[in-house]
Amino acid sequence: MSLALSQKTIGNIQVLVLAGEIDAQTLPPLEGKLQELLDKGHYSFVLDFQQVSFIASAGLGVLMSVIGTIQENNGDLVIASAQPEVYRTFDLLDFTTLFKFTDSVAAGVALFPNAAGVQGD
Amino acid sequence: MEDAHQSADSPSFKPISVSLPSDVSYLDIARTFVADVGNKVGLLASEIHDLQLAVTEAVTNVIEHAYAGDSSQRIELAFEKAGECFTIVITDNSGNRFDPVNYPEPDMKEYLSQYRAGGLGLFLMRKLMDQVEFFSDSSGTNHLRLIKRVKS
Repeated sequence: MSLALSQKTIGNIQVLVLAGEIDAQTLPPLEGKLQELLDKGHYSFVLDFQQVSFIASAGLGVLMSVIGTIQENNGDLVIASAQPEVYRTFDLLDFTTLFKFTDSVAAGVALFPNAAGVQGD
Repeated sequence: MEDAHQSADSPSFKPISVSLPSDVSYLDIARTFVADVGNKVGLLASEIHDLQLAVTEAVTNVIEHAYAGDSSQRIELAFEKAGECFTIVITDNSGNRFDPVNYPEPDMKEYLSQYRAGGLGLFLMRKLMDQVEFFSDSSGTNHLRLIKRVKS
């Protein structure tokens, strides 16, 4: 099992579509992509978790390591369409207080004030 | 079946073990093995997921901490079921004894406010399992016993 990662942009929001399992083996590409986008000044993220069947604490750690920088820059990271067991892993560690969760990517995108594509300053 | 009184372990599950390389690229195989054993025993999907998560955390910790990233070593996973207790023992020969006393449960509110990454594996194992025990012998072999009470 691996983790497939694709990226699309809706307005100024970076949507990362993940598919597979997130653990210490599979997460380096996700970590690298998030860092690359942060380095380019992107701070608005929706992560599409619909096809993620498993996440270990290593994956939560990576998301935690970027949320501080994201929020300091008035951005956010929303997790969309998480499966119940994956959501439960977040919940067991109280990470549900750190990230917003939505039922769909569209609902996640709509949480951003400038979702219409107007670049915030 | 007039007499439904059967042994709690029927059909009997014989203990089984597997040896894996101390390499994170085998974490998926560890999970697949857990699922296969869990299905054979008749565990619920949610129970299998909890066991997969706990084993992923345990094996990752052994690789990264006990073996300090040395991928040439071995990790043994042993499974058994007695009554309602499903037990997995994770064994390494690193000689690096782990003392859980040094790792009290974190205050998650404080932890999250500091955005600390990592170190959550043991905490997660304790949340997922009914019992988490570490023990070592004089030869440098460490064992982590995870016990979960299961419904089947």
